[in-house]
Amino acid sequence: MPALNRLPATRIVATPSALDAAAWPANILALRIASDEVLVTPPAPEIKLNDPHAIFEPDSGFADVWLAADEALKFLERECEWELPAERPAFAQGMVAGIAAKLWLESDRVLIIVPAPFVADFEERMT
Amino acid sequence: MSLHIPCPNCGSRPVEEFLYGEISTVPDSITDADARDVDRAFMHNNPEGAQIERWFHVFGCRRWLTMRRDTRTDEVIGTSWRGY
Repeated sequence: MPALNRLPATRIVATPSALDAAAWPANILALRIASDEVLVTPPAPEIKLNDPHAIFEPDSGFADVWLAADEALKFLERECEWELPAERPAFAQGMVAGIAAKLWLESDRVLIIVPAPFVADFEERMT
Repeated sequence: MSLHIPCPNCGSRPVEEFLYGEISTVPDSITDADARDVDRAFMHNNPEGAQIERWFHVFGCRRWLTMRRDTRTDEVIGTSWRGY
């Protein structure tokens, strides 16, 4: 299993309507954590939103790893109690191997994001 | 078979992902003001039937949700962000 690396990101908090209407650049990944919160990677503090009170904060509290789809699904089948979304691409979050994980599922690969303090535990449980 | 809670943002997730937040209620049978304060501060709810609870999705969206649950069957009657 490959090692997890620190994930450079920007956390954006804004009104749900502003985030719904946002045009995310093609080269970034915008993960909708909640209706009023998005985690954007790589960092993108220059994004314009229709919310004058939007908050943009650099976030270095996560680590990530890309896995091949078959490898990731085999691991998730073992360590994930909840049902993964069927469509691709898709974002999902929940407990994986006892740790709060965020998943970005593409057809051929999967991005797994975990809080940085739990990287060592997560790597241990991946093997 | 554990209880699964339908988070309005993340979908159905096992109860282990959530933190319970009780909405303290005092039975109508307690009328004395001091007794009501003591009950609110020290006594937990234990109704038989439907009750409204708050749950915090620690492992997912990190938001509080309101859930209506039947304590006899553990059936989740519904969830929402605000309340009932």
